[in-house]
Amino acid sequence: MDSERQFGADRRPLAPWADPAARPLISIRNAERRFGAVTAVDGVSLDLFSGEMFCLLGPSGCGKTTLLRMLAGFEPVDAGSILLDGVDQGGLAPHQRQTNMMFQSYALFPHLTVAANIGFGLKQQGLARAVIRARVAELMALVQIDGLAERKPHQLSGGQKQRVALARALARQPKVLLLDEPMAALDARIRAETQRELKQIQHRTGATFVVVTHDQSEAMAMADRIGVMQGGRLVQVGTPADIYERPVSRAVARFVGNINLFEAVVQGETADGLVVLACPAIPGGLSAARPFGQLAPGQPVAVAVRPERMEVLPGRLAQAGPNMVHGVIGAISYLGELTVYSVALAGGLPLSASAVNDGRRAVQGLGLNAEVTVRIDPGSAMVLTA
Amino acid sequence: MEHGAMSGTPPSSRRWDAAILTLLFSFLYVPILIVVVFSFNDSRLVTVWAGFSTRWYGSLLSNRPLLDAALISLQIGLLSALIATVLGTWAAIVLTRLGPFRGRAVLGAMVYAPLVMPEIITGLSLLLLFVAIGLDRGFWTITLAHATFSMCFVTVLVQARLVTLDRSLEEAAQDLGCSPSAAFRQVTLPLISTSVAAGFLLALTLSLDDLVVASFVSGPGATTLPMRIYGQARLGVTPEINAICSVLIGLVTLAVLAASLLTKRDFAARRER
Ligand SMILES: Nc1ncnc2c1ncn2[C@@H]1O[C@H](COP(=O)(O)OP(=O)(O)OP(=O)(O)O)[C@@H](O)[C@H]1O
Ligand SMILES: [Mg+2]
Repeated sequence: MDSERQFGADRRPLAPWADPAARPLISIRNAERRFGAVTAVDGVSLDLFSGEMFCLLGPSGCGKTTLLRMLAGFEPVDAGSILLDGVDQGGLAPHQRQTNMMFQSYALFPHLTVAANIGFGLKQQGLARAVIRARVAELMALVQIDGLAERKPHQLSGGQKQRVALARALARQPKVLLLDEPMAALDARIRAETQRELKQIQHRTGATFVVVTHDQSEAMAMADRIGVMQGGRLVQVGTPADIYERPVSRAVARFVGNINLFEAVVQGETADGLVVLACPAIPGGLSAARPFGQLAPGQPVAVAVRPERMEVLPGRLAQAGPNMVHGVIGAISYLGELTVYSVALAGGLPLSASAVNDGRRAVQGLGLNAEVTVRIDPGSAMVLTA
Repeated sequence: MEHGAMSGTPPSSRRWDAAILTLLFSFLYVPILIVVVFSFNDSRLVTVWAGFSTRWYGSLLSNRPLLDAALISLQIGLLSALIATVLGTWAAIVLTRLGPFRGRAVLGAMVYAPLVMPEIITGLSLLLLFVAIGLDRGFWTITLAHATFSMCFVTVLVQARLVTLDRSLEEAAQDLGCSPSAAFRQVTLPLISTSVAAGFLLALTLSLDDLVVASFVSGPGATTLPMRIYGQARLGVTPEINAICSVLIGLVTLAVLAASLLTKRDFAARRER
């Protein structure tokens, strides 16, 4: 956790997506792909910039692989267009594009050695054998698989195969590297390490990486920006913090991290920029941060609160004012760094709240079945209209 | 029954199994063995053993008609196997790769039909076709006929291999700069090569020992080895025929052995993965 944050700190602060003058490397404009009655990719528009790490995140079957294959040239664009460096990629076959892909199955050539696999793309460019050999050695050092050059793919572990596939895809120095679930076949422990390494490799090569994943924590850990896909549509694009702190809809909020959602009705606004809401689950009323869009009194909305933005206080506080609610602890999960309390509210609604275990604060009166009061920080309560 | 019957197979039944197997294999291989043994018979009379000799193999070399027939058979065999391998592999690729299209299932099933078609029907229908299009019967009609029926065997063999191949291998090759045809040559072909070679050997043996179809579609100029042997055997089996048959048996056994070794090695290599 800590090292990841450090890694995040030396990221380039530049954010070309926020700069209206920046020229995108890839422009996807209203791209669409249909399979019979299924629209796998439905009107996706997206600008990708040079050197960024972009994660496509979404549930299974939402069209991530299809969008990636459209970028690689394996799926035609039924409507709309894809531009790379301003050039329409429409008529270009996969072997004519400046993209390379790392396949989910790795697709290593079983009849070729590791070195021949990695050098395959270079051989197609007609480079001299000595040049290829030097470049292959360089790539093998980059992904840390020196010494495996003469092995065949079936003699490699899953993690080694993954590295060979990555080196092979990087060999031609593509402007854009497309990775389809690059970590899916790895076990949890080496996955975190590989995420960091992938990020480092991306920095060193300076290529744009588009990584498909359905693991939100992986996307958060690696991405400069995340695109959330649902049902073939790109529903939100933003930095990990944007997606986590300001989800555009209930669906996005539910998909990224843990969240509590309350149905509520808008009543009005306060002078200090908070929205006042009537919420059946919270009898004392609720105030939340104002969203960007317009709100009308009487409008039904949802309020989303992350578990770590709730405070669980022991006992039934007498004056349960706004943003306070009584409940009973139904379950406690101790997760090491955190403790998660499942609280049953008076109306029977479940709610989850978490607290950091810092070891100094001995928490009294927060046992199973204890009466508690939960306080919700107004600034962290998000109003969702969709 | 006695308690012996409770534990495993009773001894009497095991004896039956052995007897049936012996009978079966005798039926299959004793006639072949007789041919081989009597090809080394010193006597001119086929059924009377008069000591060991290789003289019939020597006299084969001076039997012009038999040698000519053997040469024609070999030429037809190699040529038809080549045609069958190219077309059969092509068909297998089209059938596995082109995705769903109208009539695909029917087409797939139709590949298997010639495998079980009685040879006499294959022969007759091809004869009618050649007559209808006015093709002179002889070397080329036999070659075409053999290529036609052995092609299905190649298709079935190669298709069985192709369906186990990961489609993304070819895509990966294209992604790395290969045109579709280069991707096929550099990735797909090496991976299916053992099946293709096995298909070629199978087609060759099918052609070498075909009598029925060849008899239907051959003309005056072209007599294959099986046709020649059959013709001579009707006038009486000579030790020379035994000798040429033994040579043929040896060739076919070699080809089949090679084909099965190829596929076996291929399967073993894949299981390792
Ligand atoms: N070749 C195809 N023919 C027909 N339908 C397809 C094809 N490829 C994808 N689809 C459909 O398009 C939709 C999107 O598929 P896609 O593979 O892009 O999903 P995904 O987001 O990558 O899912 P996963 O996380 O499971 O890999 C699915 O409904 C799928 O069934
Ligand atoms: Mg996928």
